Amino acid sequence: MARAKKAKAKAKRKAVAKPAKKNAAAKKATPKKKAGKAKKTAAKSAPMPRAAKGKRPQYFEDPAVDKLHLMVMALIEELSVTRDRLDTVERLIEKHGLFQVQEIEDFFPDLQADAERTGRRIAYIRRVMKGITDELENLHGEDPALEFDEVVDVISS
Amino acid sequence: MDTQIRHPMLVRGKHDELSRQQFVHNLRLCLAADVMPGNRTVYEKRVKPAFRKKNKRDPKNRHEVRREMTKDPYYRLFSASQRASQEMMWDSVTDSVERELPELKKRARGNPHKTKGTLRIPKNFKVPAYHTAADIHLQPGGYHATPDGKDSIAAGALYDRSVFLYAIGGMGNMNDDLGKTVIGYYRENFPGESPARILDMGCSVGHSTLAWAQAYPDAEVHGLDCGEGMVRYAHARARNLGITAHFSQQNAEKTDFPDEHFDVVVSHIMLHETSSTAINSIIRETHRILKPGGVMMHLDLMRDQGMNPYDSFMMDWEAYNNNETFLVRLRDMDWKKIAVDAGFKPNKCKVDGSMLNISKEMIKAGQEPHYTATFPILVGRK
Repeated sequence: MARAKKAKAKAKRKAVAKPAKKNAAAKKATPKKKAGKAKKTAAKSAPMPRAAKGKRPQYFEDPAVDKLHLMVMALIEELSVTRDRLDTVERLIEKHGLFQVQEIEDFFPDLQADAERTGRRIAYIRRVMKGITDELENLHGEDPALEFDEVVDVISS
Repeated sequence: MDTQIRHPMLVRGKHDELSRQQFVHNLRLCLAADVMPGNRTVYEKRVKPAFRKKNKRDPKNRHEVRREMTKDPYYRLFSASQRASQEMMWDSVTDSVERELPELKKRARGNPHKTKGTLRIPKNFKVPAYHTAADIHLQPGGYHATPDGKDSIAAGALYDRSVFLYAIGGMGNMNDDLGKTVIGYYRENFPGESPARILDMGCSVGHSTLAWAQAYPDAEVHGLDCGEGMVRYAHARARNLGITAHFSQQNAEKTDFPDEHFDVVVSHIMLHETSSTAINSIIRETHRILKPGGVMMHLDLMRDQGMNPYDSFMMDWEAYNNNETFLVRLRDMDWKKIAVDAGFKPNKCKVDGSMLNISKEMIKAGQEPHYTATFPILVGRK
């Protein structure tokens, strides 16, 4: 979601940065006049390139695995970022005296909270494992799953 | 938080951006410390025995090792992860630079310490093809990205922070350990010299240039680089650090300096980012602009010669996976011959080497250095 947001923001920025304005800003800065009070140039940042030029090596037999690996790496990274952010929140909470972070360590959910958590956790795990177990559903079904072409035949008749 | 000095020109970054940068920093540390050494085990225990069984001999050279290793699942996963860490590194810093660029540019115009450092940007500079064929070490836009117009410092701002993460801090908190390494070598091997004019070729953002300026405060220290955004940023960084150095956008193959101008001409891991033709021109140019008695020192990465096939293969990793392509050729070249062809007398030039300054310092302090490899230096006295 963060990425989508970023892309949106980038698109917005792109739309804002008019080329004419950019040139004017560049011109203004080139002659090295007194820096002192630089006139307020359009303080819009320009989008920077994101991909390096040059063919990317393929590391695995199936190029999809390369992509999948990159996705996993990005997820690992974002999880680490989230944990850092949580750590910041905990430290700020303590700094502002809202409660002692030790309370988190000592927290013991009551029955109700525990049941809710367990439910959420199991749903989460099922969602993650769905990719593995999906095909079983077809195997267990009363009718064997149809191949794509067979479905095309069905819908074409 | 990491130990990079937060000087005024260094990109700051927001919470999550810094967190991503820290993640990349730590990821690279884990890859280097835990995962990479496993490649040797895989080679010794799995790849080499299989090769031996099939060919009745060991792999002869790094290319044979490469052919086998790139099929191994462990090496593949290592390489894919190492490559990803490099891409994530640039991306994590780009977020911050992109947002802070207008502010950084404003700061770049100031000269808070009133240094006398200068900046020269020629009108019609032609970026050499070896810089545009692919983005070196995967920096998006290479050394030449100017997303915000002609006076951009974007490439330099991105490089300064990222290179620290790249080296996992191994180049010191000012990224200047390669400069210090060559300075140390110079002092050891040419004792008592007090150079009046020093040139750092391929200076990027002046990491090593400023080490020279600090080591020889009375000398006139120059840094040149092909990247406009790099030298613009180098100039701003030096001024904000209060260190005087003179930067210009120039190609080291053909500079605008007069003959016999410098006492010392150096470069720090620049040669492997050039080309087979360019390296010859660069050493010839070095010879031209050196005063008689002046000293050339070009430090680069380890040559193939004298390395065992496995270590030599691993040394090529950056060439094949990180767009430092010329490294493969450079590692096979006869550097001394290049110097002799450029005009250095055979008895006045050689390929020598030095351990990193940071490793030497650790040994001096009774600690065990992380890295003890000897970096080759092409040395010549005119």
